[in-house]
Amino acid sequence: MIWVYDGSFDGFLSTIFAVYKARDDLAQISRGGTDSTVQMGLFQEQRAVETDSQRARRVQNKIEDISPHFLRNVYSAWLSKHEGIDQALLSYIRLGIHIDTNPQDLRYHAYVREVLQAARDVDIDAYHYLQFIRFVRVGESIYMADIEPSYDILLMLCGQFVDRLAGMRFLIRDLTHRKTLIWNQQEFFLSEDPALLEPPLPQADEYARLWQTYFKHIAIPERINPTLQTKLVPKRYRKYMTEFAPTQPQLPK
Amino acid sequence: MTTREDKLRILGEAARYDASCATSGSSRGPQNGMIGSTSALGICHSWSADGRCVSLLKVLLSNACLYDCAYCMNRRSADIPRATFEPEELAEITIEFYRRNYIEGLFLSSAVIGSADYTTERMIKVLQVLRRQYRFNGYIHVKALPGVDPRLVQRLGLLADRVSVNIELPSEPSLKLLAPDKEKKAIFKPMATIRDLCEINKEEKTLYRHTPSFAPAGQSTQMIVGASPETDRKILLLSQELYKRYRLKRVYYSAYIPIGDKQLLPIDQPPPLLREHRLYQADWLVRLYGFDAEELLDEDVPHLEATLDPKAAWAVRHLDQFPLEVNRADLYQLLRVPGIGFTSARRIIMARRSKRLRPDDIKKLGVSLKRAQYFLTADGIYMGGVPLEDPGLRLRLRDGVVEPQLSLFEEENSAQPLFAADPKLQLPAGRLLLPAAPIEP
Repeated sequence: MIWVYDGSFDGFLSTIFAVYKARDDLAQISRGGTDSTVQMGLFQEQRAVETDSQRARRVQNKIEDISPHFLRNVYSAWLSKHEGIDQALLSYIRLGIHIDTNPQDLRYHAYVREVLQAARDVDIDAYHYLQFIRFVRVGESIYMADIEPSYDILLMLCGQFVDRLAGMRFLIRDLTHRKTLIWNQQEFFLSEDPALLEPPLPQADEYARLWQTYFKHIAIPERINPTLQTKLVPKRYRKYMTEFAPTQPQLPK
Repeated sequence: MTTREDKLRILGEAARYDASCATSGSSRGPQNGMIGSTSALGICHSWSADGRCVSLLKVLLSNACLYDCAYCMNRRSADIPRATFEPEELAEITIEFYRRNYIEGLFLSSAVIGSADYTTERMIKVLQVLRRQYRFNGYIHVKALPGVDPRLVQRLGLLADRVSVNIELPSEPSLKLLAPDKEKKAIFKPMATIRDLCEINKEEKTLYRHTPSFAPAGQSTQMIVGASPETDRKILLLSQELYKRYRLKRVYYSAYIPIGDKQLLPIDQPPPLLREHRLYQADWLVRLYGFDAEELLDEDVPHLEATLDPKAAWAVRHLDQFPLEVNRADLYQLLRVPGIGFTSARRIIMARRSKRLRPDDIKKLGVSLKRAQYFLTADGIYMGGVPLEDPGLRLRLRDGVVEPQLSLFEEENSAQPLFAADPKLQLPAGRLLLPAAPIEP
């Protein structure tokens, strides 16, 4: 039986619920939604799963109760949109529920390796942005940042920055996925409004130049190691990082 | 008139020889009305051109030092531009950098201006402006200057996450020679104060819910390597003692860069970066892997090897302890295998609860077998393929870190028929002067 859902995470969890309820041991999951290509099989029976947030929460809580890391692995791997990841996740979740532990150390199963690799790819991308996002002040007290992630990790960054910079209004624009995260000191929003993505990020910010100066002078000349630096700060993140941008002009007082 | 930018340039450069950059060990969620948080694992926001992590704004409050320590670029007798921050201006720069996600927080040290106590009072002012006026809740690491009044140490600890003192030199004679202004007593007394206040704070927190924290990330210290003649053994034994006695979180080792007084300090050798690297590796073994310093270095072997990391060097000297059976060895035994760290050890232990591990299983677990294979048996099957004996094994375990200046002739003699045994044997990665094709004996 092929189970098709709407491409959302709640939809995925609803599918897990449905598979368990139907006791379908040969279940195949197919990710539907706006950016998928669902093969209409001729001989396999297909069923559309209705996304039910109550059922989704039940599955989520069950997984989280076993271990928060378990849920995190599942969510990150799911975000990766790797080919066939939903199938691997089904096996991963089944195994975890069966042994009542996060199966992340049981790497002799191919699907465990697959899930963990996908989760790792996503988590590393998110972590890199945690480190490398640079804000620029654009208004009286509004700060803005641009990112171009490989994976859809904007929501993951939300927690960290809303916590940390609660007293500031900020926007983070995901240029790859065409979304913007907005925080107005009260609540946060995820917007897909293309108008927000249009204006380019302003360059000049009085502290950007200070940071560039500082950054340049803290390297000890006898220890310069560009290979190491390239490995640690991959080139693709440097586009929006102040310290790797061309030197800012000195602003008049 | 020195501008803000000039000061940042001068005082950032002046502080760069302090290796400490950790932002871990303190976990504070967001507080109402405050800006910032700390994360228990620490975050590196960037890496400078020398490959070192940049997570804190690391500056001196002033570099106009009264003292004349021979190894320091800021010593009184050096001819360099001097600058001093106003506390408010430094706090403002810090908070603005933080808002832009450049940094996790502030690392503040200083040259001694006037006296250790006066300088410390100025540093306390910076911290107060940050914490109270800007409501900064991020990470602060502040240095306690040798000889400072214990009451000021207490005030520092209530404002910062980590308070530390650098011992700089690994022995008293070296200290007397190179930093005569800093007495040994003056260095260790603040370290004892920090330790005691942390201890008291821990107790009080269990008794009184609203006890303010004192230095939740503890203390660390730093030693310069290569400016004085102590052996690796002396340094490592000292570190071990410091961890035990002062409950330090970390000891940092900083390769001496020849910026100091040319009369008193060696100038014609390059900075001992490999030695510093080996010391960090040895430090990790002592601190986390359950090794005793004496096991790694004793009177016969006072220095760490250049071509082998300390764990591999130990293993090669103790081949009687191997091979280990992966299905039976305990955690600390597994950790002594070259190539096995906490991740691999944990995976082995977890996996063997379900099944008896065979060589293929070990590979699938993601355990790096390039070196570990010589020291393990899986279900009785030896994974190494060659006998456990010194010269051959040593060559196989050699690091790619260093470029050994070997001649082909020496290689031919010292190696057993390396390739005749197994032509598919991997050479350690790195720039070895060995021919690409196997040697026919």
